[in-house]
Amino acid sequence: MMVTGLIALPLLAALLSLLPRQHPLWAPMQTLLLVALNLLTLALWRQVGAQGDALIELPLGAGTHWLLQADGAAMTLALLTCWVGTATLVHSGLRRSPGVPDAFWPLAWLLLAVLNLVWLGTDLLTLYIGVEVLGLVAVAMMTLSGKPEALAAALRYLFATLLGSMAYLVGAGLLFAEYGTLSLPALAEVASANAATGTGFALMLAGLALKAAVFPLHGWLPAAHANALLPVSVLHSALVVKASVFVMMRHWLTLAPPFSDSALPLVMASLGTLAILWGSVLALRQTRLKLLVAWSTVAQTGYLLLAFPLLLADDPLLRQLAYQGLIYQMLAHGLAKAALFMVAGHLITATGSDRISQLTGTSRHLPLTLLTLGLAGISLMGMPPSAGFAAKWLMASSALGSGAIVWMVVLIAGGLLSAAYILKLLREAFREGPERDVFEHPPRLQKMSAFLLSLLTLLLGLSTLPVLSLLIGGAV
Amino acid sequence: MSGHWTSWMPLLVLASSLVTALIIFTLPENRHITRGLLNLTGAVIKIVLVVVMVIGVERGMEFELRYTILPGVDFILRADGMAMFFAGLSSVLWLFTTLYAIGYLENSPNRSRFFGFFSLCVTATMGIALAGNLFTFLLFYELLTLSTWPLVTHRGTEKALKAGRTYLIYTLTGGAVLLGGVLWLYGLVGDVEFQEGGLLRHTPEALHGQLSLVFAVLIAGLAVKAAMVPVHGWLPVAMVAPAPVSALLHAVAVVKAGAFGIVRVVYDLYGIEFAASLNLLMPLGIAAAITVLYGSLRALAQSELKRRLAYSTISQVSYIALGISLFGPVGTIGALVHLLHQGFMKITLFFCAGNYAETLGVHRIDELDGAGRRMPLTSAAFTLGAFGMIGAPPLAGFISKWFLGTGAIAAHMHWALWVLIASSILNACYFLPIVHRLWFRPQRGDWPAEQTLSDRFETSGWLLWPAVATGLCIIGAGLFAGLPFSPLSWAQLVASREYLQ
Repeated sequence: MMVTGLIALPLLAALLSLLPRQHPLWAPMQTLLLVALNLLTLALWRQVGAQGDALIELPLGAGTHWLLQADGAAMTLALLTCWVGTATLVHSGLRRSPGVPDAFWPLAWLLLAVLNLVWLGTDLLTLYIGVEVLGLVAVAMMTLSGKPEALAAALRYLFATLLGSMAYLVGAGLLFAEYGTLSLPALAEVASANAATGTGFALMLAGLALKAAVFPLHGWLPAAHANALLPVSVLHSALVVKASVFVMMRHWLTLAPPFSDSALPLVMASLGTLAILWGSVLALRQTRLKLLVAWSTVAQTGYLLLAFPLLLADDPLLRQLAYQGLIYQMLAHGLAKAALFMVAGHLITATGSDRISQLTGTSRHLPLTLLTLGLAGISLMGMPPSAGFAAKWLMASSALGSGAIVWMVVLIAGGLLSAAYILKLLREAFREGPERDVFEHPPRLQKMSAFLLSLLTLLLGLSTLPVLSLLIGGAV
Repeated sequence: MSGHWTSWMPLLVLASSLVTALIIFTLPENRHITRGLLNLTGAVIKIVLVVVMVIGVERGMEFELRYTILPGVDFILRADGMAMFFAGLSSVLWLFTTLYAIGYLENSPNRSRFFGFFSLCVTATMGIALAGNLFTFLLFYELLTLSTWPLVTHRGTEKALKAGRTYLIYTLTGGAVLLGGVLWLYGLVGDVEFQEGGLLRHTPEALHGQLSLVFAVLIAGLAVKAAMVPVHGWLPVAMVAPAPVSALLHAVAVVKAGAFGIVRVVYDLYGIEFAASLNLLMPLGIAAAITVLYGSLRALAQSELKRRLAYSTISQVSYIALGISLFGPVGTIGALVHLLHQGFMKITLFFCAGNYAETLGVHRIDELDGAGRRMPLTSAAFTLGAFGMIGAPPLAGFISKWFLGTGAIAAHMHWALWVLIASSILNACYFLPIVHRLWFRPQRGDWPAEQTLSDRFETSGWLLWPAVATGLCIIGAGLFAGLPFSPLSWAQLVASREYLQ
């Protein structure tokens, strides 16, 4: 039951954040809430590790239930949410936050609550409510910057997310009509490969793919990320996009096995490959920092899709490797992307420009920021030792074991492509151009928040078993 | 992870430069003396630790640290004979290169960044030396790529950035190929540790076909850093880096990491006898022979000193691969001992080239006329290095070539002997004219950009003494080759363990 605290605590925090910003107790209160969230998440993560999965049923009224499942995957993502959330809120300035409107705080906490609901949810209704509310909160946060471009991008995003939810709802309805249950564990037992299931499943996947900006449905994402407030971009690219992929994965494990002989697995992996290629090439072609980072998200989502067919391998050991790799990639990418977006923000502050060509000289004057960029970059490239490498290793091992050498090659080649765009940034930063010695320094606390996230990608690359041991048996 | 002190030794060796790197990164730019002291302390501590381990390994002690880093994959640092061979080379040369770099970079900007990555680079090299399995090796191999890139691009000029880009395109691709090979191998046989004689010979015969292919993939990945033809292109381009970095790339770390990787794969993963039974050595030998000759021929055509040295490296490093392909203990000794000797000779030559450039502004070979009179000690060291490369007795290079040559005869691969002879003639053709210019030609007008770096010596002591010291090592390694703990006797010890199985 303590697990529900993961949702209740951020909700409470969202309410408390409605208090006036000027109140002297505001910053101590936020600090306290963040500490509480960290302690609670860590304690629950350890509890699930020690005692195994827990299934919780909460009455929702009218005979329906919230069905929550605290398993290793949910807890790993909750941990990610907690870390990225903490870093982002600290980054936004608990005491003073110039440029961040007051409405950001309650929305951000609400977002964390809904995210935790999505990680834990294991029935179609809970998940529908989760992704629907998540989309709406995210749209609201997109508008916070108030720029006309941001409003236009938010509107496009609103259409995308509503359309996605609609498709999901129709699909869920089809499945309910067919099997009379909303619970994923129950569906896993009864689902078979018939037309209704196929249609419902496909609709749900397509809807979620739109929300997750899966290639070729990614059109709304770059503009939305590039024009939002920095902390909003961080939360969105590190967590919100991942939520839809996570829900896709939950459904995949439940409904895909009957369809493992169809073209569906191949379609998913092909889309993933195209996402990696297309996203990386476009990231490489960008001249603006935030757009480069945004396109990188499109590419990195592709890696997640590559794991989907591997989740259906015949050998349970290979399934498990793919599952571990997929969750670890979510963790690695979430941390690294959050750090990278923060670094992009710092570099924009420092140089006063969003242009990559303006980075000349920053390596000398902002060493910590560049170090953060380097560490996060290593994880995004999947170079050792980093969490990104561990994820790549697991997925590639699984691909190799099931004879899918093509996907292994894609994984490795994708790493080279990400290296190209990350190093493009570093190269500009190392350039010694016309003397420029005046850079605006971002606050120390902001630099440290980003650095700690990137440090986590390194540590989680050196020690993988604590997280991976919770993910044993999840895909079997 | 046991609590015994011996398991901490490999970690301490890494920490001695990693901690140095981390502290240096945080040092303000103007704390030159603190930084220099830190660097030297780290270097000396590392040598002491390595010496302790060398003595321990000789007495049969085990230094090993391991933990499970991924499901079914261990992270292993272990000091065995082969590891100490490379670790000894790197730690000694690092000390010299650090001294040299302190002098070379005096009054230049971004020194904290430079020395930070410099130390990180040596950490990676020590990790490569001590890696106890292919996974751990790969980890540090990639770290080496990343930590040398900032050094190659250090100057931040358009040319340096371009060189850095070329460097990365080659090495990252090589790393990716290597990763593919490692994944494939782990998929076939799981986590196989490095062990003298190689453990892969115990694999069932059905896998031998695939293992041969894996071998090719692994060597292809490693060949990039070892600068074997046709994937050598990055090395001459990377010449734009500061001289200490060139020394590091050519003698201490990067090409050596590639060559050492080939050594590890052949001897301690496959095992030389198993590799020979799969007929894998001959293709390796042919590739090496082509590289040896090609590098020498291209060196002949260069008019810039550092570029000539770069092509010479391409040629000389493949002596190691050539020696590996000569099946038999003698060839193995030749390969291993050259791994060390080439390091000492090439670092001397690069130090000297840097001295000419810094003191006289000389970059081209035809500007060197009469430099021997202006800079006698530097020129003497250069001459030692050059004669060593040619293989003149009693210098280090002679020992290498003697064992390689007799190894070729012992392995009944007479063509390899002819390759060595041809290469030595080419070595003489491109080194002797330089030596001639240094000592026997009169100076032609003023030096391009002369600086007085010292009142007492021909150039700054920081630049001079490391070159002289490594030059003396070239004589020492040749003259005292028979003494215990000399490169030769250590190579004999290691080689004997590879064939006893």
